[in-house]
Amino acid sequence: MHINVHAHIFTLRTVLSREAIRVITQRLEDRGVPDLLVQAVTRLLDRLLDRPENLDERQILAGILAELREVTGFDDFLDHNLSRLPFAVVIHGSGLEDLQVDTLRAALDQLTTVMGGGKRAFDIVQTLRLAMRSTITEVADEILSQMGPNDALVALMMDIHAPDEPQRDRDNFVRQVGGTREAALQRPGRVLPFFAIHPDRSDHFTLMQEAIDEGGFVGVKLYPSLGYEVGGSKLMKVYEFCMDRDVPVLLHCGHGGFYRKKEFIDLCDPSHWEPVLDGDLQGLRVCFAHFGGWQSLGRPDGLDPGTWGATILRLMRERPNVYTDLAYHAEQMLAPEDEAHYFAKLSEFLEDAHLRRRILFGTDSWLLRLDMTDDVYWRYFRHHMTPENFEHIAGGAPRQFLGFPDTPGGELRANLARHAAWLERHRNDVGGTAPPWLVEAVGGPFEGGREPADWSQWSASVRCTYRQLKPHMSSAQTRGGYKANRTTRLSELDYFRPRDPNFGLIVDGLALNLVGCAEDTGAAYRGQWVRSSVVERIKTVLRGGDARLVDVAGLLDAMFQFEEALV
Amino acid sequence: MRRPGPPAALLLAVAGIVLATPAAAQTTCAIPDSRYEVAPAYLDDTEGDRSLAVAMSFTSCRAAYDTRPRLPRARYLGLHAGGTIPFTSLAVPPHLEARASYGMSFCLCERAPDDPMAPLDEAPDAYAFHHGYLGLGARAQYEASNDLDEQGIVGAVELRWVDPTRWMLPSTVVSLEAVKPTKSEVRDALGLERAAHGRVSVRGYWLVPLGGPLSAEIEGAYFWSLGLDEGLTAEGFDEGPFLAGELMLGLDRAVGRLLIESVFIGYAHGRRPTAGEETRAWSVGIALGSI
Repeated sequence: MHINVHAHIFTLRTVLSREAIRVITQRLEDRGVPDLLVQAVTRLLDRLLDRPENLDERQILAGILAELREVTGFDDFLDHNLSRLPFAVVIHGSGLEDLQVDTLRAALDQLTTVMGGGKRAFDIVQTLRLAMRSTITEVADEILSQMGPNDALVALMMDIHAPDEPQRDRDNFVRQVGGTREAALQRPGRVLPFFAIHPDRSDHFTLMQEAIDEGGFVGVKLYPSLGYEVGGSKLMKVYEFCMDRDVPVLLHCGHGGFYRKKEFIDLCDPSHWEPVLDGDLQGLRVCFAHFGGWQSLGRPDGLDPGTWGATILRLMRERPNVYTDLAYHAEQMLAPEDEAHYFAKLSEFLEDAHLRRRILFGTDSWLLRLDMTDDVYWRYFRHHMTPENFEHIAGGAPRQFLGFPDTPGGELRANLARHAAWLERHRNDVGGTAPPWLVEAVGGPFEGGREPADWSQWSASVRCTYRQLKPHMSSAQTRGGYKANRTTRLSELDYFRPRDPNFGLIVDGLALNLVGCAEDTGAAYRGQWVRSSVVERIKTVLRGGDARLVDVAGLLDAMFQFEEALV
Repeated sequence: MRRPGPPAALLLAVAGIVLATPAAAQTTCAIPDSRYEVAPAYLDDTEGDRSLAVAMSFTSCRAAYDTRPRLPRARYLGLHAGGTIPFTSLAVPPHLEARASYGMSFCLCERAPDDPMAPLDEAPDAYAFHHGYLGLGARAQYEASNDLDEQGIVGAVELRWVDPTRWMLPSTVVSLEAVKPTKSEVRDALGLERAAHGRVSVRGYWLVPLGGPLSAEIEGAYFWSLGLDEGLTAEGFDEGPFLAGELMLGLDRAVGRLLIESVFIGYAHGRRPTAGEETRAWSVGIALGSI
């Protein structure tokens, strides 16, 4: 059993706020993405914040290209580079949405190459595609699909809380909690959720307590560069709770990543933890993620006194339960000498009996997708390490950090025991097969009868979609019930007759009833969606015919604030 | 006593003015939006004259949606003005036109409330009743040749109905159009009256599932002209049936980057309102898409 101790499975929708957009685009800038492209992505995200929607790859590509045309400075860029630019972008203009994915990919690729951004655009689009799944479980599935059938990931939530947080952002955070919990139920024993704390959120403690004690969460995630000190009284109370409940803490500890202000990056400095990890809190399980940055292992001076890596190394040696992980260490891949140093140093530490137990494997997906897939990252480390060492950092060491028993038949630590007990309470209602560790922990198998997270019959968007479209199903389709029709395409329904002179009437009527059904539930429109724009969007989808019923439900869910939302 | 027939080109010119605009879809607008378009054009009037031209149009459509449970409806108000102006005169002058249309579409249905506590497969039917979709539309149009020698006003109303769950019943369009030439130098030259004309047309469309990927499309139409000039009547513009059928086999099979969507064989027989002659045509084809 391998464990990725550092993964993010939240959807973009559950973290999207003005603050999040600022933080995300800041990260793109820091990674050298061309300014015009960053502005286009910002505009696209702004549009999605105002009018939430789940976009597929074609829509993301077309959206970015369309936004690029609106960015100040793009016209000048066109004037100076006309001969080197793709026909589709220059000529096709507003008809971009009609182009094929390959054409759009090629167009964006050519554009960003001219901008000097290399293949960044492709990776950004793939990252957005992954992050724009309609449910958190779908994101988890894509990451899990790159791992073995019994492997697990640690799902780290994120709380990009802003001081003047509107209700919408608060609702999104609550959805993130619910969606992460749902993913843990959908993939029992394979998604181990960590609850995100932001001490400025007024009820952070209550929410955390509930998540840990009753919601299946096994750990706590901190992100100090989002604007808080790790030694504050609110967090001290959190640590005491974690000690009491035997809960591990993982925090961002690298110079990159997200930050609210540049000066806040220093809030991640591990030296701030020296006074925290003292006295009663000395035994707190803490993982300083990213080892302070790839340079700690990849550069000869990476562990010089005063560096974050050196502090982490010292804390790992001096404190009983301090760990680090190797998430998103990508830049050493670019220079052979850095890479050689990285793995030589890692190998050296893994020969140290004490440190060997403290270094954990993690990927930082889905954020890693900005550079590569998880699969590539796993294979890269496998390739550069001895099988024994790799098995250890991706198996034994994470198991110990998370609270798995050292020996078969041993006891789970309290955090995992609570998680197993929580899953046991849902044993007849999970979404997939339980891995051996869970079956062993609770004794006996699980029943995989849980509905897919994106097609729950109790969700208003699914009910509206299925009920309104059911009259247009064949008898064979109807016989399959709602479960069998999750992936039925609109073009397979009898309403879809684009050559009918009255096709427009049919589309009108169906759209009015789909939207009317959603309104009948009392749900309000999200963001700047209003009835006319929603009807028109639904009409476009109905006329296209490519969407599946689950996509229509996801779209309704994005546009309406249903009480029983999909997460 | 029948007057001598006018030359074919002039007949076509008159027919073009009074008949070339069959009822457009007036009950909906696909995308409520405003659009300006200007494009170069190259015209050939088939009489030997050719000209470069500029085509311009402005289209605006506004929609209002009402999602009430009983008879939900949409209203559309459309405005369109446009024309193609050649740089030299042609035997068949292109149109200039300005059009206003108003349409309503209804679902002849009533949404039934859901029981959110019931399992979805046992949930109540979505509709208390559902009798398909109805469209009503009206259009007023002014049209003229680009030299303004020929001008007329067209009024039209139409009724549409479709219920895709009852494939035996045709998807129907019934339209009534009236044309009043207000200025016509061609008519004056030919000694034709500037009387108002009308046309009633009925169109039915069936999509018949034949099992599996096989389906048939049948289209039947008939039009009657009212008060049409004798000259045009004699040339067959007065009334006529049109029937078309197509047998289609849906394949959706990929061949490299191409998607073979379907193969079809079709037959069409009859006359369209703007064509004086009856046509017969067989068609065999493949519908292609891309992956």
